[in-house]
Amino acid sequence: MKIVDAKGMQCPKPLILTKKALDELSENDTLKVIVDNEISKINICRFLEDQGMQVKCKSIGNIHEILVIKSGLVFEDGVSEESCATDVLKENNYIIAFQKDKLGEGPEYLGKLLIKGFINTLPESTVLPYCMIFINSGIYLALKDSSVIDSLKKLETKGVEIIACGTCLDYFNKIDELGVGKVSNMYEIIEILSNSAKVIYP
Amino acid sequence: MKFDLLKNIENGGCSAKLSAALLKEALQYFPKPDNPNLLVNIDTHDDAGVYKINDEQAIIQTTDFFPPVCSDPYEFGQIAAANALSDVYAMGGEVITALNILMCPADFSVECLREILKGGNDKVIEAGGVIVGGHTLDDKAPKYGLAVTGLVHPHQIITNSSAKPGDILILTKPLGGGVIMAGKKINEIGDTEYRLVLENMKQLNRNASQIMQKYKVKCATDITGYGLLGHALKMAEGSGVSMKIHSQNIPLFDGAYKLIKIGCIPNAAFRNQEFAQKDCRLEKSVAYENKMLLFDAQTSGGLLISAQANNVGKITHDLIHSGYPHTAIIGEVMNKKEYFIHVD
Repeated sequence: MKIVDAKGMQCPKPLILTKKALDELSENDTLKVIVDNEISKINICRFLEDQGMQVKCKSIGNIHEILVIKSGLVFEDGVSEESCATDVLKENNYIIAFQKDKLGEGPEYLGKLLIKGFINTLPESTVLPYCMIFINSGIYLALKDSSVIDSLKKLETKGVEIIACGTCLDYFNKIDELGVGKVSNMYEIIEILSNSAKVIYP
Repeated sequence: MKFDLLKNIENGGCSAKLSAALLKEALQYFPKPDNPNLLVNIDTHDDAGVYKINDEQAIIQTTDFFPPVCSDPYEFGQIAAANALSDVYAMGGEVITALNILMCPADFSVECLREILKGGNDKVIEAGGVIVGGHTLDDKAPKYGLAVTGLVHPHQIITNSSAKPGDILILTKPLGGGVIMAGKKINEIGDTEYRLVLENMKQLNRNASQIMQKYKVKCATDITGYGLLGHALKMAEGSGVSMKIHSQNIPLFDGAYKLIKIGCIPNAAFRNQEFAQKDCRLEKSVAYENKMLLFDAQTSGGLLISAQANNVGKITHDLIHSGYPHTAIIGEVMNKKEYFIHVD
């Protein structure tokens, strides 16, 4: 697979790179194009579909990944996940990174009360984050016996990706007690943080 | 220090136009004006409104303004003015007065402001009109244009809704200006090619309009933000006819085809494709590059003239010798068929 990373570029630059990569691609090989704006995504999809190629598109926040096989052969599962042209812009373009098990500075009791309120309120919020990351003592929030575990599970079923730092779980010796989401490493956490338009640190 | 007008401009010129689909939806339930003197209203999406004052005179009113298309303020002023004046010419009229419409940041340089206005003023003078005033606003991205009043005899109005089957379609300026502008921004186009587009955008459609009157042409429109197919579609819809367009006959700016070939396709062309392609039937033989050039948004583009077949030779001859050397016969008007536009 060939990858074109056109993040940070405006139309028509991402399309030029796509066209170039496609020309250099061998038949039946797959091309992945990554862009960070809706207009580029739509235009690249229109262009590829106009060439009779079938396009697959995945959007996480404002990051769009476009997959296409040269020569327009159908993907093996036969159905494209979502049609690019009709895809609506996802509003949940932010992530929340919890670096501790309380909210703000000040008395510990208050901080824990506040973080509980924060997370329990979140499922009712109109715009959900697309990912929540738990680092350092923040991992305590995602443990089985956490006071907000039900809310986190609810968020997870609503499609919010929940990620806990593996090193941190190890350090606190809580690796077996994670109650929600998945364990991840610093590499992935950096990827997610750097790809997001907005990161909230409560 | 020379001020670069293009700094911070994403969509310059007519590419900044709101999508036709959105506008159509917004105006959907508007009550139709019921005034016998209003000879051309918004119904047919014509270039300008025309209002009869008496049996000899009707006024043409139009406005157009947009963000910079080029770095030089004087040239921007000229282009924006030529583009705004063009709607009067597309209706077959002559310009009488114009008002400046200008937006620029509060800390804009005085020289820059002066140059833009001078460019506009020079074009209005060239058009035989006069600037009578204007309005300015403090706004982050500069924008300039005119509100123009023209005059036409009520019997000589040229509309975009009077094409007749059997008419021949003439285009007076090349296409691909939008593509070249996009290519300039990413340094993929030579200076000579770029300059040619700028000069074309500055050129008034006045001579062409006078030639249309000489040969009693009844139907024309100017090619701007919706691209050739977008404007042709409005003309075909308004006239209740279909059109055949020969993509091989379309005059193109040097370098435009090459830019499209590498994927330098401006967003406006995709937007126009989105709104117009469903009403167009494109033969398989039409290359993708040619198709996208037919959708390319033009700023201060040429006139698309629907002329009676018996005059076509004389009209094109006159146009070619009056400053429009790229003039070409690009198609013909037919009885209404399944699609409004057929491209081969």
